[in-house]
Amino acid sequence: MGREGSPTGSCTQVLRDGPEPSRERNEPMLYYLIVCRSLTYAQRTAAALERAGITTRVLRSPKSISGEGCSHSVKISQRSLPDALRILQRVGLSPKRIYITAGNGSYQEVEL
Amino acid sequence: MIYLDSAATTLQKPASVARAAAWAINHLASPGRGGHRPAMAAADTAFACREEAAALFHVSEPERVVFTFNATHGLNIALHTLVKPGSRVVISGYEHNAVTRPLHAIPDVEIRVARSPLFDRAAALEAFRQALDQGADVAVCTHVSNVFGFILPVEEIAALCRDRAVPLIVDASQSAGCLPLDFEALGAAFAAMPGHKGLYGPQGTGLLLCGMEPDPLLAGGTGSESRLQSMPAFLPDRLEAGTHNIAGIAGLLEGLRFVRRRGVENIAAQESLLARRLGEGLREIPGSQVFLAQDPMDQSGVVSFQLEGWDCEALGEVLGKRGFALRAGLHCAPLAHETAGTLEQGTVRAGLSVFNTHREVEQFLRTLGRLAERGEDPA
Repeated sequence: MGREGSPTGSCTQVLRDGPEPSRERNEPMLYYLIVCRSLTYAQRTAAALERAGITTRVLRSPKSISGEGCSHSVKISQRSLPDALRILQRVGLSPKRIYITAGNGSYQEVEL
Repeated sequence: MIYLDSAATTLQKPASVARAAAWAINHLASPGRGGHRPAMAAADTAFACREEAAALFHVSEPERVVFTFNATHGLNIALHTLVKPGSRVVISGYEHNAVTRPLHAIPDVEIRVARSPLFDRAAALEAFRQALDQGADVAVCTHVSNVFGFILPVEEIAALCRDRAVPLIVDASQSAGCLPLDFEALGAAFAAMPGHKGLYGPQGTGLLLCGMEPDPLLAGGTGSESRLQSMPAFLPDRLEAGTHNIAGIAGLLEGLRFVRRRGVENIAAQESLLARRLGEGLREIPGSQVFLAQDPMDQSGVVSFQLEGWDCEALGEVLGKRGFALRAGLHCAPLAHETAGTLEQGTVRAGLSVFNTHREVEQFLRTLGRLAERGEDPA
């Protein structure tokens, strides 16, 4: 999570980085969404992963996976999941659910 | 104007506080209410503020730091959660109306006041012990009297409460940012504090530290679990219905950073030194009655006094005209005045902050000394 761009030194990564680069044709980007029970919990989760060197982004959960409506998720790359789970277990943060996307807009829950 | 009313609100703040609040008005939207940049930037600011407060007050998880409008709001949430009709509540003899009025609004509450003499920490502890041993459902204790600066033995009182499994609510209005406060070590149910006093944030900000699951005082939108018609079960959402005061939170974040950079122990030492000089100087003024602890460790940067022949409000008024901002009267704490025996006369109160100087204190003492010599309102 970025921390620059304001007098308070606080600014989210999307401000720093701008839009994500567009995907190459025929090269679907695989990533995981760690669904969290609250925005603050998502921020804690992201902060813990960032401290361990895993790039994250906090975002509002897609409607199709948001459960009771309106939740936040932490996005991580496909290769980061094993490390991320280990780190989260170590710091006592438990994900609510985890989804994987194939880049075509669909999400599939991952059994933990 | 020499400002000596920081027990009400600190007026001199670090410059970064106003800068951050002003910037936030035009750049930060509503945390949790959108995925766009201004909303996410607001979320980052709110989270940074929770983390900063959690580090300062030793709170295990940042979501246990809840934003409130002020300390009164936080105390109302805590009391609403723990005190029910018929509850037996032990309170210190130095509580503010922010505690006593909500308690009186709940039917059939037995309020047991653990009275003790001013600046007598051992007596305060013993009074709590006796009151708790009669059976209690909840205890409430201010960390520091807002009228007299008396530092109550809140750590020891918390231990008594833990031993008896009585949940404790700490009113940290006068201590947050001015004295060390370890929430985890206290094991308290809640601690409420304003953001605009010793934490140097803007007015309209406050924090409630939660050691247990609270009942919400307000219901409404939280940006989470929107399909449900009950408030979320998790913190901080459970207590934060409606749009946040994000400009205030941005300012409070800078206030918290200032306090942590400066160091609470250093702030406490500086304010104590100023208070001691002020109190001793006041004692030398003929006709003055000063409420000063024998041991400086028993008093914060708040000093109350009276001047013979002067109505306290009239004296506050004259001092205001001479360029000194102090608060006179009962300070919304009639119970504290009753305990100290000053309910009928009230007092004039000086509340110091880290921005006050020895020079300001000396200037104030000279002015008050001249007023005392004349013996009447010269205005």
